[in-house]
Amino acid sequence: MHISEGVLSAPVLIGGAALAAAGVGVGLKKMRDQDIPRTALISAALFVASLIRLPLGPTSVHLLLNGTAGIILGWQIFPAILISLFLQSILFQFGGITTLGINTLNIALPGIVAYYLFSFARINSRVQLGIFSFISGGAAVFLTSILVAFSLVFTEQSFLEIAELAVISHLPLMIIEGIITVFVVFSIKKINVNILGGIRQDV
Amino acid sequence: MFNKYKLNLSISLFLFFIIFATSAVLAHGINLDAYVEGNKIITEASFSDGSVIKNAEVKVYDGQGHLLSSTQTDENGIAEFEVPALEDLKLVLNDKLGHQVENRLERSELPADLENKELESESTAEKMETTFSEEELRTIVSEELDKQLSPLKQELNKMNNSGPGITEIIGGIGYIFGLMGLYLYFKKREN
Repeated sequence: MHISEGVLSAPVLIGGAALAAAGVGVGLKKMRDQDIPRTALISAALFVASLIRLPLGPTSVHLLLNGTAGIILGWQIFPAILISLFLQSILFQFGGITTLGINTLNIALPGIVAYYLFSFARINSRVQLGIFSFISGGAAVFLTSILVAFSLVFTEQSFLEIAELAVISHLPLMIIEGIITVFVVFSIKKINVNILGGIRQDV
Repeated sequence: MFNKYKLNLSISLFLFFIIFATSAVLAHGINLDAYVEGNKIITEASFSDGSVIKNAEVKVYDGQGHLLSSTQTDENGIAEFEVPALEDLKLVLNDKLGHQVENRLERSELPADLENKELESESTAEKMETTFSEEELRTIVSEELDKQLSPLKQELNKMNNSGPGITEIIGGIGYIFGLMGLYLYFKKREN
């Protein structure tokens, strides 16, 4: 998921960085004081989560948790991801500084999609809540792999080829993150805290 | 207020779970490297994050599972012992805390001349007279060097391949909370 340095061409890097910067701007602008600790905590969780590697599928993949983070944070996922990716790149040599923008975008944007999916869904029962959690968690990973394929399109390979590879190798991760999201959402519901973007309190 | 407390608690718990899971993944890989030097077997025991396994027992079994010898690793996780038998050997490391790993030494890795030592010393005189061309010497030396260096190379590879350690992980989390503190500080001053 971390696109390495020297893979992408300059326009893609600059475009990705610009969009990511815009996203971070929106995230910071929308961030109220009480959101700050939560954003930092999720950022730390995301930072560590990518160390959990799953030897599944054609390549070994690692947890992203962008769907879960998106549901909890909303637009603050952008600064959270930016910071965790930045620290990963300097401390773990995952990804790189030049690809920070595009990687942030690729991971954070699907989180936002998961957030809005959750916000606008009509959730009336626990079953629906579970289903939507699962879909949001899985869809975020799916969209990330599509975005990664899209970022790589300007290198010589064909889009469908990369997209197929990216989606297939992340298929197990989609299911796992879907389950994790369900687990997280229900745990948060259980302790009765209103931090999930879209969930109505009466469910 | 109470809810906020609960929220932070739950997220912290989640975080701790993840950290715990990660460190478990990092710490539970164990390596037992074994190589032959002269007529000694040297083993090096370490966790996959690079830390050595001290005072662990290394047992040597033969192909049929008979215990041949047993040694303790020293402060550097290294155990040395004489080659007990010229056959396929199984080395088992156990640190008494539930970590166990085994490694095999094939017959071909053991020194071939162990049994023939006396014979060889008799024939040394003959051998001394044999002369090698420069080319032959070079091949022999390089072969020997390869043999001696291969464990070193393996070590180097492992060092390069090893993932981030707990220091980096904790450090990174520290940075994030430090940033949070800074941000909150400046927010506070604005107000």
